Amino acid sequence: MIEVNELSKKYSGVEVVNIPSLKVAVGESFGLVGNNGAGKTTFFRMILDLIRPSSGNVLSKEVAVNSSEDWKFYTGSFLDESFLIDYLTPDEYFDFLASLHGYSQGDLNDFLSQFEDLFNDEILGKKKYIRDLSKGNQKKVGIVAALMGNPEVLVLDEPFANLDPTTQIRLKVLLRELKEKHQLTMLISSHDLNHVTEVCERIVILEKGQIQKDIQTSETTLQDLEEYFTVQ
Amino acid sequence: MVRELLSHGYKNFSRSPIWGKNLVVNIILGLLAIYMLSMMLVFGVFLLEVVEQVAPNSEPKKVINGIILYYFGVEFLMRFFLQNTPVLFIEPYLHLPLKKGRIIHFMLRKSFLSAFNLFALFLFLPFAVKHLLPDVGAAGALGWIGALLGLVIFNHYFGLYFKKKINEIPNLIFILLGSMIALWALDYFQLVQFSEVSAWFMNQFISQPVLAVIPVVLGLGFYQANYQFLRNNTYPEEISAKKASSKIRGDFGFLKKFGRSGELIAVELKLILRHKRPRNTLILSGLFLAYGLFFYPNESYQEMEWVFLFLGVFITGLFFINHGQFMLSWQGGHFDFILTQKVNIKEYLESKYWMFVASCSIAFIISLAYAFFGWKIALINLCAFLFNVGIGIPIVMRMSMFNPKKINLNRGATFNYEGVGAAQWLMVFPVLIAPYVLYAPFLIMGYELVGILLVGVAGLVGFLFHKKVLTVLTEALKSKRHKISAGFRAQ
Repeated sequence: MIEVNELSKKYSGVEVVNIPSLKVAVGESFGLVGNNGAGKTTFFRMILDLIRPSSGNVLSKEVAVNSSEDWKFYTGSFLDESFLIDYLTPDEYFDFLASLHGYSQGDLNDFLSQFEDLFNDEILGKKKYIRDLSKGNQKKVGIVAALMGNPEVLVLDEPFANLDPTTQIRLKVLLRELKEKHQLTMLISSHDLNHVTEVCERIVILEKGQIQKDIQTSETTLQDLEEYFTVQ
Repeated sequence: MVRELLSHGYKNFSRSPIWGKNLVVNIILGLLAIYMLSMMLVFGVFLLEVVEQVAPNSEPKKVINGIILYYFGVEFLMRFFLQNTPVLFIEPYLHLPLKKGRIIHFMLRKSFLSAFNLFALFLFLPFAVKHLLPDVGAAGALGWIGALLGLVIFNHYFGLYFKKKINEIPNLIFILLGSMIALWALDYFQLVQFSEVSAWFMNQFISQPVLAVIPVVLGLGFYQANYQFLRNNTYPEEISAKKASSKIRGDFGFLKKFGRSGELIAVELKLILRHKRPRNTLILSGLFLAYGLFFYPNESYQEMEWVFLFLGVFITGLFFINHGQFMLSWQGGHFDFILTQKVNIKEYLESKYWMFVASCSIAFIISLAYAFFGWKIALINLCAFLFNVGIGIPIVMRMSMFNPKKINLNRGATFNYEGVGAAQWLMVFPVLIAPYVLYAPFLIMGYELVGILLVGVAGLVGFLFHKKVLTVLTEALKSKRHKISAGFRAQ
C-alpha cells in the first residue's frame, strides 16, 4: 500500500529522516515509536506530501504522492491542529468535509452518530469554534474527520496524547474494529508503548531518523520496547 | 465548492479574534474605509477639474495620461508593502480530498478582490467615462479602460509574484530599490520624461484599442506564473510566513547585575525584541524622539510655548505610554506563570517601574539635543521628564491593571487592536493633561516659569516617594490578580 524508497530529509545539513526502504502492506497496522525528535512527524508529513523530501519518494498504491494527488481521495489523516480549520465550529467543519466526500446530510448524521460516545456531548451543536476547544476535543474532531469517507489508509500522529483515559480506550477499540472490518491500513505514531502494541501488529522504532527495529507484535513486544527505551 | 471556500474566508475574517471583540473600533475603521473610498471616488469624478485648478496652463488630459505610469509605480510599492497572499489559508486543506490546483486558483482569484484594485478604477474610470468617451468615441475609451484594467491585473499579480520571488532571492529588494532610484533619477534630471512616456502609451491605447489586450495578457501571464509557482511549492514549511528565525535576539546578561529586577527586565526586553507588535511600539517611540523637529524650529510654535510641555511629556515618555498601557496584556499568555513563580508582585512591578524610568531617562538624554533651539526647551523637557518618572509612570501602571485584555504576541502589528479597551483610550488624558493642571493656572497668571518648575517639583516628589507608590500599586495588583488572570484565561 505504502512504499518508501531511499527517503531522506535534511534541514541545513542535518538529516532528520533517512529510510532506505519500507513497505506497509494493505490492511497492515503500522506503529511508529521513537523519542522526541526521532523524525516520526516529519516522516508522516512526507507520506502526506506536506514536506518535500530532500531525496527519495513515498509511493502510495505505487504512485508517488508528490506526483499525483490520487492518494488524497483514499487517505484520512490527522497530524496536528493545522489540519483543522480552527475558526469553524466542529459542526461546520464536518459539514464542509461531508461536502468534500459527497455525503448527504443523512450520511453525515449516520457517520457522526457512531461517535456520540467519543464526543461525550462536548463537541457537536456547542457553538464553539474549534480553536476554543480543549486540546483533547480538538484531537477528537481531527480523528473523526480523518475517518470520514471510508479511507483505505489512515495516518495518525500521537492519537492517544491529550485524550482522557476513557477516550483512549474507546479509540483503541475503534481502531481495532476498523482494522478487522474494513481492512484499513493504519500508520500510527505514539509515545504510549502500551496502546501502540495493542493496536498495531507491526512496530517500527525510529531513532535519529533511522529505523532501528522492525518487529511483528507478539506477547513480548511491550517488554522488548520497554527494554529498548530503558537502555538508552 | 467555491461558495464553501468563500464562506470560510468570510468566517475566518469575521471570527478573527482581532475583529470580533471591539465593535466600536471596527465601526470606526469601517467608516474610515468607506470615507477614504468615497473621497477617492469624488476625487476621480472631478479629476479633470482638479488638474485644471492645479496646473491651469496645461492640457489636463495629457497631464492625467502622464500621471498613470507614476500612479501604477507608486501603487506597486504600496502593494509590495501592504498586500499579502494568504497562503496560510490553504494549509488545513492540503490533506483533504481536494485538488491543490483548485484551492490555488481560488486563492489567487479571491486575492483579486482587494481594495487596491478599486483605487485605480475609482480614480481614473470616472475620467474615462466623463471626458474620454465623448472626445475619442467608444472604441478609444474602451481601449483606454481596457488598458487600465490590464494594468491593474498586471500590477496585482506581478506584485504577488514579486513578493514570492523575494523570499527566494532576497537581493531582489535591492534590485527593486536600485531600479526605483534609477528611474527617479532619470526622470528628475529630465533624461527621460516618464510623464511623456506614460501619455504616449495611454494615447496608443486610444488610437489602437486592440493594443489594450497587451497589458491584460501580461497580467494573466503573471497570474499563471503565480499559479505555477504555488503549485510547485505548496509545502507549508516552504510557503509559511512564520519561518523559524535562526537568530536569537538579545542576551542582556549585564542586567543580571541588578538582581531580580534586572532579570525581569531582561525577560521583558526579550519579549519586546522578539515580537513584532511590541517591537513596533519601541521603534515608534524612537522615531517620535524626532517629533520635536516639527515644532521647535517652527516660528509659529515658538509663539505658543505652552505646547512644549505637552511635547516634552510625549517625547520623553512615549515608550512607557505606548508599552506601559499594555503592561500586563503583553504577558497575558503567561500571566499564570508569573503569578506562580518565585517573584513577588512588588518585585515584578519594581522591575516594570525601573524599566520605564530607564526608557524615560534615555529619551530625556537624547532630547537634550533640542537645547539647540533654546535652553528653555531643555528645562521644559527636564520638568516633563521628572513628571513622567514621578507621576506619569505610576498612573499608566495603575490604569493598565484596569481590566486588561490578552495580547497574542504572535499576531501581526498593523491594524491589530487586540488588548485595546476603554482604559487604553482614557489613559492618554491623565498623563497628558495632569501636568497642565499644575501648569496652566500659572501660565494664565503670567508666571509661566513657576508653572513649569512646579510640574518638575511635583514629579520629583512623586519619585522620592516611589517606594510608597509601588506599595500602593502592589496592593492594587494583589487584590485584582485573580480577576485579571481569569480574564486572560477566558480569552
